[in-house]
Amino acid sequence: MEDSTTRIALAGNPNTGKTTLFNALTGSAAKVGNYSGVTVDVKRGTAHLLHGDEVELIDLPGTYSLEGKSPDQEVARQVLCGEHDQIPRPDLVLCVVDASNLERHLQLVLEILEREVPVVVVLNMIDLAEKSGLRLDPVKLSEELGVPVVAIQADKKKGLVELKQAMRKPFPPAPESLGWEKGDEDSRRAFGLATGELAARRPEAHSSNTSDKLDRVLLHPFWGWVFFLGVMFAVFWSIFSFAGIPMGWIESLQDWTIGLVEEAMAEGDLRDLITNGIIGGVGAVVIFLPQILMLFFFIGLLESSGYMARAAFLMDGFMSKVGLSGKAFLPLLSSYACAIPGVMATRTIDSAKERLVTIFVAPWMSCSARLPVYLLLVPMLLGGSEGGSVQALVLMGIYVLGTLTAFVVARILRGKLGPDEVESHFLLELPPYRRPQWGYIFRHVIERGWAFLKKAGTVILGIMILLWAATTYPKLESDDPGEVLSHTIVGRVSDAIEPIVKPMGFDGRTGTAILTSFAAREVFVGSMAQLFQIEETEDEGETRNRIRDRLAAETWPDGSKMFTIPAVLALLIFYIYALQCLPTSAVVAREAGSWKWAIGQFVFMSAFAAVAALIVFQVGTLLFS
Amino acid sequence: MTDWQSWVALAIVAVTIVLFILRARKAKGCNSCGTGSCGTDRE
Repeated sequence: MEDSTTRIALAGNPNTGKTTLFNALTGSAAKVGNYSGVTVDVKRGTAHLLHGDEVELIDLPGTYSLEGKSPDQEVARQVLCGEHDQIPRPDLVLCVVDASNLERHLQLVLEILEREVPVVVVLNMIDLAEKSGLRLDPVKLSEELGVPVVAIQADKKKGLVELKQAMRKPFPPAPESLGWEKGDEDSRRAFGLATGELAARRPEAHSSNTSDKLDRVLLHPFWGWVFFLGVMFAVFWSIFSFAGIPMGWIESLQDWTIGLVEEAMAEGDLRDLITNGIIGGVGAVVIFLPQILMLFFFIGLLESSGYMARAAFLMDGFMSKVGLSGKAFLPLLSSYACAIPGVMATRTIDSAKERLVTIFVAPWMSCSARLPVYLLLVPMLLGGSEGGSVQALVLMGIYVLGTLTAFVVARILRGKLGPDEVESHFLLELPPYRRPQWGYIFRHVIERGWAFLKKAGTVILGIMILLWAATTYPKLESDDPGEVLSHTIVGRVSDAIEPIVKPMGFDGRTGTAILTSFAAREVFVGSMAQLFQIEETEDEGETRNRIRDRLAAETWPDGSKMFTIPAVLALLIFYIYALQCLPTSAVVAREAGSWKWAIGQFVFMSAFAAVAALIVFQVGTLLFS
Repeated sequence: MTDWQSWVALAIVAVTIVLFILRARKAKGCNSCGTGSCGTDRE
């Protein structure tokens, strides 16, 4: 049976607003960033045209050319040429171009026109182009190219009605003759430049705009870095300082719920499971929701304002020193939020060897799941309550340490893999600074917050229930809580692993909490709350710092302090380096094309974390004692 | 002596184990975490 679906592909250079247009036409909320490489996979959605006709929209990855070798360029080329095994050839291609960079963006349009498909050119971001003094002439452009041209402002949803009209059948035919020699790169480039100049006239005296003026400071070899570090510090300081109030609310809610359950139920296993296992364990993780939301808010703000691309530009020189190109920066940057999209974003890297190295080190960029662990341990290290600039500095140092280690390992690994067969070029466009798209930022923040809560309500809840069972069964009738615990599964596991983890400064319970967090690292906080709560009695005056206070008071059987500075440092170091995320390993196996890489990465990172923790504790103990 | 609370608690633990096993069998490729943390769960 013939497939009657009308397919329309969105193609264009990176950062032309394709994803914004895709969202505007389909009403979906795909992630939007103000830097290249956000779309590495093909997104598909349904759009409704003016008379209710349904079409399938295919958002292709942004690419500068169809002739490159990177996986994203391959995908775009395959779809446009009808060679993709899952997506049939589109009936129409919407070529999205940034009106401010017409000459350069037209090159891809001309390449697509050579493929003889019906094309509509979408001139996006006309407001910014006109603000910079350009005088646009869409009619002239249409005449020169022989295809319809529609001027729009995707973020403000202006021009969408005209665009939808152009998307109606019958589609404009592919131009019969081209104004340049087909397949000849020089002829194509010359035509593109000439057409671009005709359709977007620059004023005689080019006065520098606000973006240029800002870039003079923000991309300065010295002041650029000062600003970059200042921004990073402000982000970490805010995460520590502003989240206290909402965290207090979550905690009060937690205490209130526990009180309610204790009033309503008689003492027993179920009540214990609900209060200590579920509310106590899951609550210990959920309490970090405000900080996670803030982290994603800042990432969204930096992306959407255009600063993220400047950060990539600043880092490019640094990256080349470790054998990676600037193309590896964006995947690594994404990994600060979550290693999974980071690993997937490596598809934009042309060189297979550079791609493997980037995948290998990406999980060392501290992801948001590590944040709850850091937020628990950093104040313990400094011996104070949460907040303050010193803690923010330490937190920033943790991120820097993970990043630097990743670079050093990348350098070594890159050397071992040998040089590339194909030279890789990094082309990054600096978009103009824009007013942040608040709607998108907040939608993104809510989405990520919801994903975090969903995880807390499923995987983490499950692990907490199992952990409660492991700390309860098998039961022993005794009045001594220590004896009861050592009879349980956790007690036995703790005893068994204590000799292994003790040289790192941890007791069996901390070792067990580490074991429980191998599937998802944030589980560690809830596990510690459960494992160390057992011998404690009810304390009405518990505050937000209760886990920390409890841990700080813990002692070894000989009476010496358990969580000394070297021990907390060793624990921090372990969490900076260990790869405790099963989904990441699954994605690495898929992207690297082999489980060998995923297993190798897991073993290497776990061993590295254990050895680093061992060294830190042993050396630290020598220095502090 | 095992009261009703112990039975319910044990049942919850058993159901959790079964759900974990089912999840592990289902997990393959992307969104294997089921959290959609990378945004792929919309596909």
